[in-house]
Amino acid sequence: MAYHHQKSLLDTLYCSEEHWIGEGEFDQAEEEYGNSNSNSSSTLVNNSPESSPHLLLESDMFWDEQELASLLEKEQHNPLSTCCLQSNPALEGARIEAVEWILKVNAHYSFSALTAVLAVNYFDRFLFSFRFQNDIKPWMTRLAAVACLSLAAKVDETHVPFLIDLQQVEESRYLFEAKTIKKMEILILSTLGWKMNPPTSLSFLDYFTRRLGLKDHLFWEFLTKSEGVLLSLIGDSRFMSYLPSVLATATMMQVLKSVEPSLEAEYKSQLFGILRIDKEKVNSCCKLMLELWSEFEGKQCMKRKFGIGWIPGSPNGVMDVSFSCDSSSNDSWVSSSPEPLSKKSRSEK
Amino acid sequence: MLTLREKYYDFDQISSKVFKCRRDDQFFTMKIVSILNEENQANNGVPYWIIREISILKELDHINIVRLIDVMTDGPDLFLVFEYLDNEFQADFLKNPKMFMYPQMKKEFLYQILNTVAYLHARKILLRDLRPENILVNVRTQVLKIALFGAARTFEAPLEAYSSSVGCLSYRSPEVLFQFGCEKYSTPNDVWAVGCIFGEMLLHRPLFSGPSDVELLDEIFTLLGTPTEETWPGVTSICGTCALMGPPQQPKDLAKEFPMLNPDGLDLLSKMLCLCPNYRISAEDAVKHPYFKGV
Repeated sequence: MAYHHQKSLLDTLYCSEEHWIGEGEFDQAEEEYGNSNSNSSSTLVNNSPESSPHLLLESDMFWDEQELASLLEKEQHNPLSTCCLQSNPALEGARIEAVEWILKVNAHYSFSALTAVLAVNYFDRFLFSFRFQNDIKPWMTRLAAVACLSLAAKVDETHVPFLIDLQQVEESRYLFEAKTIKKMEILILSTLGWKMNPPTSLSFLDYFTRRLGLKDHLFWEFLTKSEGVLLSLIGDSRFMSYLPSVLATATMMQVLKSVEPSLEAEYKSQLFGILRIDKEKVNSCCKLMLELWSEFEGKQCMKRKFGIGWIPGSPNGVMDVSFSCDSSSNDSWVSSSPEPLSKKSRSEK
Repeated sequence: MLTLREKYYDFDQISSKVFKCRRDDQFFTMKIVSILNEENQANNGVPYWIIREISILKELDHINIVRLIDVMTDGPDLFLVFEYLDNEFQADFLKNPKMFMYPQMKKEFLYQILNTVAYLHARKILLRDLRPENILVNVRTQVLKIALFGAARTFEAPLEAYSSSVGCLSYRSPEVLFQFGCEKYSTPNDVWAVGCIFGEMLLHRPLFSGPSDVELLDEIFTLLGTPTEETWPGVTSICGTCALMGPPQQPKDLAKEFPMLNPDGLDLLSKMLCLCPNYRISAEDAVKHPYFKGV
């Protein structure tokens, strides 16, 4: 065997896959499978002010220009910004169904908002890389949705349910074997070039909140509402044409109206100063948000007093929960999500 | 799309799962990882640490990080193609006797480690398992490379609760050992590990080596003193009655413990080994510290 003298170096560098992380590197496996509480949860996001300790480390609030530059550079390679589904109702329908399923399961397991956003991002990038519009079968999109959510949970969560449990949140026509999902995971990973940490709207929101210096209660309220808004829009394919930075800015502007109306103008000018972003695109995105909201304005609102115990799977249903119909003005059109019936503790990551 | 054998050739086995190979007169190191075998079936799909390590490495382009060039799949196997490091690169860099020949060399390598950690933190990546075994050095060219990102993960603020059982025990920060603030920890955890490596460079032995959390904390407090509300706000409310705190101890004089360090070096070491994560120096600020003047 050649290169014996290199063995010690390579054993360190490329440890065997049985101990991929290196023996003794973890006292216990960080990820736990199949231990997630399977009770239904009522929240789409689980870092609400009620469930999150009001503990912000200074390191949480750190920001630098390099981080923003890195995010902006990465989002320029966003393959979804040119996508349009309006011309393909079959594909759009398949996407709506997949996103609905992802959001429902995400809520059921109390996964974070980032997990849902990543799962949908993977799904969209995978879907559009294949362009199999003419031969779309429901089982294909469901299998892709299961694999995308599984991958997103592995990237962002610690406690990930078994693949079989991930599919049993609701009665389903399809139940895929673990090995089938695993093969689909590999296909998705290869297709996406293993780029599983794309810049998302949440990445920009995270940066903005630190950059604007939002503190404590305001910080939590802002993040929770922003996540709720983003998750309510995610099922509508029209928002795919906006870059994450644009969507994040539009979301932030709308949420600021609700959370801190007195500082809205000041924060707005700061935001545009930080990003030097195309105001037209942001305004167009805001307009679309308001249009979407008004589409549901006439529908019966799911109010806190009804004690809704789950987040409806459809984007429309999510919208009803995320947006309040009580407000007469569009200036404060974002409300808190309903109080969960049962709170689940956050998994360790 | 090119197959593995079409893209790479002249395979030369180095160990059971590692090969040296070529493409266009360039050498690479290829590592084979089986992900569809029966043993891994219980891992519930592709194991999370493989996804995290590869996806993080795919994003990085830094002279001090071992570069992942390509990932290919072939049946049940993944083929990871890394930059080729010749045999001048030595693993577990603190075990290399040449490391200690020149004091300036230690400073140079410490600077490279901190610079890399700052680069990662700016990209919202926590290393979480930085230790000498994961660092390779070429003493002749004085280039250092960090390898193994299996424990690394991306993060957003506000931090969620991450696993507190991550990383090699000797390099774990007090906040992780304490599980301070519901396992919320962040970039200061990596800076603590660099501080431990700095101390180890100077003493030629691990700075802390307790076999358990409690004994390790005792060693830390013996050197740096028991934290108080003044030195670590909030610590007593978390661990005031906790057995982990032990009897109160006064900090030792670092100048006596590290007589080889000049005042700038002592200042940097004390800032990296600050017990309170909020007061600990950031990697970005550490790189700009006067200790590195002239590096």
